[in-house]
Amino acid sequence: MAFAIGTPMLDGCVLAVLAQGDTYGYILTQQIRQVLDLSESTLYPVLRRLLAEGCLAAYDQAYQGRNRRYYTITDVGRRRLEQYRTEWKAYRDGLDCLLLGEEESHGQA
Amino acid sequence: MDRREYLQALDRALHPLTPRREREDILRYYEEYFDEAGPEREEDVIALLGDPAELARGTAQGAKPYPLPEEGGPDPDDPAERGPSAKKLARWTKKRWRRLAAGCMCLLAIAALAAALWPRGDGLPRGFPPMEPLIPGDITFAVTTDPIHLEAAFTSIRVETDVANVRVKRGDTSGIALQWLYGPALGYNLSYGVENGVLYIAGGAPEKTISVGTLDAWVEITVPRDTTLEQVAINTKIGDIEISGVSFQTLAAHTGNGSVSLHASGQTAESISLSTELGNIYQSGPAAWKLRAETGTGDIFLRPSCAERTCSYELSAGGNAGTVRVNGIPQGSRAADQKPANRGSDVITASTKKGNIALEFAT
Repeated sequence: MAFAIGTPMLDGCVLAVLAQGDTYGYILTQQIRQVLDLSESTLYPVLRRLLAEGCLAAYDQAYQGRNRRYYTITDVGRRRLEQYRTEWKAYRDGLDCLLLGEEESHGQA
Repeated sequence: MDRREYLQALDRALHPLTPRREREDILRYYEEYFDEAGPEREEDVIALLGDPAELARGTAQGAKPYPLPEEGGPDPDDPAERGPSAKKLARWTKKRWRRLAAGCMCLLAIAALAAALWPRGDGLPRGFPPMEPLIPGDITFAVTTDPIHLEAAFTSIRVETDVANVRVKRGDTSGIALQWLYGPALGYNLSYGVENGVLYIAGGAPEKTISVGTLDAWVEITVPRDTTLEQVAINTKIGDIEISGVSFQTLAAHTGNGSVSLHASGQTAESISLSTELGNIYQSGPAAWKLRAETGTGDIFLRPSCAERTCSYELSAGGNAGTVRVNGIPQGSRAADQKPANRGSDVITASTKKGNIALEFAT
């Protein structure tokens, strides 16, 4: 992957996955890794920070004699996600303009 | 190495990096990882998680921009390894010259927009667009008189004025320029002197004349290159304060009504205090072991050159009304991050009663 992935991008991805429904760390990692090339140590700090900021809540659920820790998105998290989605669109449009060019609006070189 | 040995090694590696509760939480997280993958994939998980020391560092260091994959990851130059984004990139490369002009125009437009949004910035903002200052159009300087060359050397500066925009800048030789309009008619006067290595500038006027717009005064102090000042203390009741390109050990700049802007250079200072009752605060460059920024009404923009991992901060914006952003990410009205004190970390505190705070780390 040629592009560095910043904190807001990771936060946004985690929130977006959890907006689809509660899940646990392993599945969350797998889902995000399908799209982004993450190292294994990346996700824990993201989850911890989002928990500390009240964007997520965690609860344990028994599964095959042990506890699985599920993460759920809070209202604060949903608002944050909306903010990210809005800002992402603006950011993406700007990057598209730069990286891909917009010949139709600026003419040929 | 099996699962138990791996987790023990991880525990050991985490020991100096995190407090106990955090360490337990991290270990629990990776234990669950092993559980989910199942015992038959234990070796795969160990290979995937990699060196325990590396994993400990990555996990404990918190929210860092994600580093590029190291060797062993997909090779971006190998077509077989290319994902959809790499294909797009290759197509773009072929057409890049044809599209360069369009791109340049976009860049100009974006740069202009960014410059408008971040008037004191010295580069494009990272991440999200920065916020617009609450109090626009601040910090204007219009000193037109020739500077007075100072014969006596000074290592500290003390400015105490009722009305003055104060600027401290770097130059070839030391000097000061004082200018005030309508002053004589209103009984206002600026004076200066050097005593025991301290440059004093004082400006006073009868209380009744002190109001914005009736009197303008400017103080411009030029500090020679390669000078590190000991103490800089600036206090003005009305006026903006701008300090740029100067290095110092301690700085305290306060204005009752105006904005404060600091673009420091040189080494990290011992302490910096920037405060105003009404106005914005801008800071960039080397911070301080202690950096404090406080405004009653206004925004605070901080771009310290310290690394986020060594920098503690405590930011509070407008009770619950303002927004705090760290590296462009909204955090609500408060944000705090305490790093272990034994790393010689910088400590940043900022508060505004009515306004927003943006903190951006260089690394």
